[in-house]
Amino acid sequence: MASDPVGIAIHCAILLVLPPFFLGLIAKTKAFVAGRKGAPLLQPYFDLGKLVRKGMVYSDVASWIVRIAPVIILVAIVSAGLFLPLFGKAPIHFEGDIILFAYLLAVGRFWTLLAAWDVGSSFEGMGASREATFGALSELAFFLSLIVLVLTSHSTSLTEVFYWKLTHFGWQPVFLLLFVTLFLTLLAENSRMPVDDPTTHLELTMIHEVMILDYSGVDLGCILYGAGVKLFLFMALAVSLLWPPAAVWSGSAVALFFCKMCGMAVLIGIVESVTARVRLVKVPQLLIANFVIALFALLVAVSGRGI
Amino acid sequence: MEWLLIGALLMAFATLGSARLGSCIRAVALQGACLSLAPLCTVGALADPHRLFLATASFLIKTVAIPALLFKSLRQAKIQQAVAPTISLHLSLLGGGGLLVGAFLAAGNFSLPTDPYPPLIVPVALAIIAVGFFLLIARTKAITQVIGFLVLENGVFLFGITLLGEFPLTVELGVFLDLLVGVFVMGIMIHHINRTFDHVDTKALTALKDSE
Amino acid sequence: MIFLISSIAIFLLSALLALLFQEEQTKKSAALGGVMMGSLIGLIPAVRVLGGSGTIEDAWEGTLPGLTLRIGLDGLSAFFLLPILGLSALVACYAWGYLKGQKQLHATLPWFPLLVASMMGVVIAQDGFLFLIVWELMSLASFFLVTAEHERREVRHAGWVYLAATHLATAFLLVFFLLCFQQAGSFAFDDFATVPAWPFTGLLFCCALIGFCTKAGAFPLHIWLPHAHPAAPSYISALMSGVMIKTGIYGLLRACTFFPSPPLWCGELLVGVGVASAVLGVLYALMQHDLKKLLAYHSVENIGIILIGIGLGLIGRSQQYPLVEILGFGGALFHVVNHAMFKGLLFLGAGNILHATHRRRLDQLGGLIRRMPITGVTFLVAAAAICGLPPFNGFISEWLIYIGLFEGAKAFAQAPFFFAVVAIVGIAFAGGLAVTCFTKVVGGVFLGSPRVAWEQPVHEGRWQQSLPMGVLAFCCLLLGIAPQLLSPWLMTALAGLGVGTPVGEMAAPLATLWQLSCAVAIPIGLLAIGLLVRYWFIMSKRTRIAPTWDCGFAQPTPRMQYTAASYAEPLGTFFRFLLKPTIHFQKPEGTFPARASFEDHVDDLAERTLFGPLTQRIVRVLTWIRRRQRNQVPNYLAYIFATLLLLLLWEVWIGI
Repeated sequence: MASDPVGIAIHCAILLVLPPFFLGLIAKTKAFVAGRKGAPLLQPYFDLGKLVRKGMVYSDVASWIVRIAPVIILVAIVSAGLFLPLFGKAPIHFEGDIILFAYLLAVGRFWTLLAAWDVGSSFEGMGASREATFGALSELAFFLSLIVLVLTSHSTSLTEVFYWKLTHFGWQPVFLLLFVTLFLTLLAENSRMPVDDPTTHLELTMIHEVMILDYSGVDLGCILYGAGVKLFLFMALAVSLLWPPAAVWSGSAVALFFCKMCGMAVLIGIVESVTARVRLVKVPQLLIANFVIALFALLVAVSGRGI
Repeated sequence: MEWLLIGALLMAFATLGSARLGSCIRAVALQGACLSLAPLCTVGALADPHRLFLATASFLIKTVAIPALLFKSLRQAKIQQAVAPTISLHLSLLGGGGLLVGAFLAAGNFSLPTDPYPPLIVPVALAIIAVGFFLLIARTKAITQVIGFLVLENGVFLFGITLLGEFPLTVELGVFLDLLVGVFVMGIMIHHINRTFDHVDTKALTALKDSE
Repeated sequence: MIFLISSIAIFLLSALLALLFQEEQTKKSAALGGVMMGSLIGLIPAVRVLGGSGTIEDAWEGTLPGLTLRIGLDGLSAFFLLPILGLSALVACYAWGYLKGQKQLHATLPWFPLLVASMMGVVIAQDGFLFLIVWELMSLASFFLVTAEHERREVRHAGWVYLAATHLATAFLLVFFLLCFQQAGSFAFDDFATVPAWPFTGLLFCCALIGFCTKAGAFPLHIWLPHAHPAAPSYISALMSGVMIKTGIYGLLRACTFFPSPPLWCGELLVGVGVASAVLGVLYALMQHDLKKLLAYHSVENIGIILIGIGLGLIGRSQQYPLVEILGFGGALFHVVNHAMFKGLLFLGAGNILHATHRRRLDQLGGLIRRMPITGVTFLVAAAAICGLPPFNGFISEWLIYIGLFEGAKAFAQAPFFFAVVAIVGIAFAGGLAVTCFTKVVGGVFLGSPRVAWEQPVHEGRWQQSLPMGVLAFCCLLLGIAPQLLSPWLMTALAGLGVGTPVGEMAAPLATLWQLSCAVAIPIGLLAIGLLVRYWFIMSKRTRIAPTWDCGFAQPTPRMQYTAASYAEPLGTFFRFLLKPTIHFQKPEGTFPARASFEDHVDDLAERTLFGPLTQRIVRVLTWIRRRQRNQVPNYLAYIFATLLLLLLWEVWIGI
């Protein structure tokens, strides 16, 4: 179940420290493509530091839910990260952890939605409604891709899955299709560009930002940081498909991981720069298309052995 | 090779899912490109005149000529860009997924010798044919009918190239016949319909039936 | 054995006493006290059998020749007895507080112990004859409990729908047991299990499936559930949805023990029915505006998940793949217990809400978590559990089923593979929709501020109501964190199903339950740390209370909150091809729009396309017959005579 303590410590440290950096890198890429100079790379850290120092305002309608939700969301996402191999074995791995991973992310969503209800605002309800709809639909493609991973590697543990991938290295079509699926899921789940615009705060079409209108101070910091970690996890998952993590951790593996993630962040930044947000009513269609791609990946994966 | 097949199938889904005629035509063109490159991806293809000829000809026709023609008719007929589906786009996509599963299930029952192509070619060809039929059924505009027909024909082409080893000439003739009959006749039809009725919606054709 | 008999005797006695006493308080004490005492006594043998003390059996020679009434307790029965009696005791405690000041509900109290006794009878009956008798008794008792408030029209309607459905079930079960009897030559379950080769297994299986699935509420036979649960008093809904529908599952599992090698398609059919129930159940739940109706549809979803587990187990059995068999059946059994806990809890919570506000429509509630903290917290726990979120018990059973399905997908080819994949996607999608649905319920009912003004002050229920809810919530959490506590009992139950005790590699998934429990404990530890850190951060900070940010609107009112209906609208629009909602929409018009309204409701697919037309045709035929008869006594006598004659001839020529 556990691997060596140093590896675990580094895994946790990277999981906790690095995510905001990639938010900054994505923003920088977008600025570069748009011909601007952009905020410094470490801007998300500065933002978090500022938020932590601030006082807080709570809605008079809100109950204790909105007060504990940020911590629960953050904890759920971070603990999901303990099951994902980044540059070696994951700190915790056992057969079936792939489902726990998916459900811990669902815990995060559950509490995000509840907290949005808690302040009794029509805006946040609207955002929650959209998040719930798109979340349920993107679950389809996400679970199908998990099935493909399990089927190809014959294991239900994320660590084993990517270990198998490492020993059978190669860019088979299946994995590229899966990468496309997971990339689209990443964009949808993390409210990135074709689905939601992460840079706006007051538009009637936004999703994630509108649910967190009533947070402030440490709580807002928690939420933003949690969103960063979630994006980080999806990026790591997607990038591992093309280039799996090493079997055991080492300094070079960590460095390689960092480079892969930077590449992924730049890719997200470019994709976000060149796409326009689709109309809200079209988002389900995008998610269904994503589902069909995942289905195709599944069929390709099993067509060899006969369905 | 597998990449080309996957690309072709994804393009079929792109035609199912896109809401605008322009992107539909582009998807079909790309699909044609994928398919016409397919015969070249086998060992020794570059030395085989049949394959070379087939690839060049189909590339010229499928990727260059027909899309250009369609775009031209799109401009001339001043057709609106929306595809006017009778089955909504996300249902079409879901239906496409169902057809895909069906194609793969059915392909398990075929035991075609696909050599030198990967076995994936059979289910992909079946799926593309099915998607083509689906497009013909689920879209009303005449130009989308042409696109559906093209997709269908691409699927048949894919089936055909597996037989290339044995009956090269038949396949080539078949390909060209399809093209002639399908595209040019339909192309003429579009102009004709447009001139007569000022729009290209096949729904309007039902008005031609005998009055009761 | 003595405990079993005395437990049933206590139930019957308390029913009798409750019937005899007229004074309300004594009536209540007799019925509810009897249920609690009887349940606790009945739990003793169940726990002992599950602990591995061997099965209990007893038989009485009946007065009819060839008829022996057998009761007994094997692993499977004992495992089902656990939630039945446990929840009954807690519900009785709840009812003690709930029934105060609800005069009209007292009249049906004698049926309550009778219902518990008959549910117990169903699981301990070891022959088909006795099974059918107690099964019918159970249906009748629950019918009278459902129609407690029979002065309301919709309650009477619900009662009739339920009665018709349950008799349909019994009719199929009658055929099933008679066919079994014909083959085995006796009604005893043991004799059924020893029949070497069953002819027409397909017919038998279909009869059992229709009969038991109607009781369990699987799609498309679920139509009585959304009618009966809102109509029944909440404590009865909790009992019926929590455990009574599980007797259908028990029956199905018991029927599986009769056929040692079922054909493959049985399992596949069950998985298919399960996926349809799970996805459609939660979709319809999402579109409901009535709290209890919504919960009723969620029962359909959970029964679907259980059926997927059973179907998977059967597929594993017919494919000779014990690992999948264990995981499928094990997950299904685990989910039975879990569902009894959280669904019971949800209905009890709904009872508290109804009691306090006299409202069931989601769009008229809100802000209750401040006024009813205990109901709020326990309801939230149950909601998280039913969505299958860690660290609650729903996750564990879904996890077992998932692992089984993944194993199946890896091992099988062709059709079983296909079903495994469909089931994984189905459960995952149902899970995603359940999250939407329960955030809608919790958000609409407990969070925000009240959408309408209450007529009377809203307050928490009495302690007798809060206590069982607290116990259930605690159990949900306990089984979620320490699922291995249940696994020895699960093993005994699986042995009762004819699944061998897993050893070696086969034991791996069940052995990893402790790993899972550690893995689930880590987030909880992290959460404690996180909350401490947050507390440390905000200690020195200034905290203000201000109105909700409303983007500059000057006068926000509670009515401007997002409603549950609009929350579910995007998904409803997306699935309108399936749900076919009826929409009444009055657009705001003019410069100063006076009135605008939007209303939608969905009709059940099964009711709309299957049972509606079916009953219409039947009614047409029956009307035709009725017009032609003359309503004279000799005619009726002639009918009876003709029927008897026909039966006699049947007996002479064909035999039963």
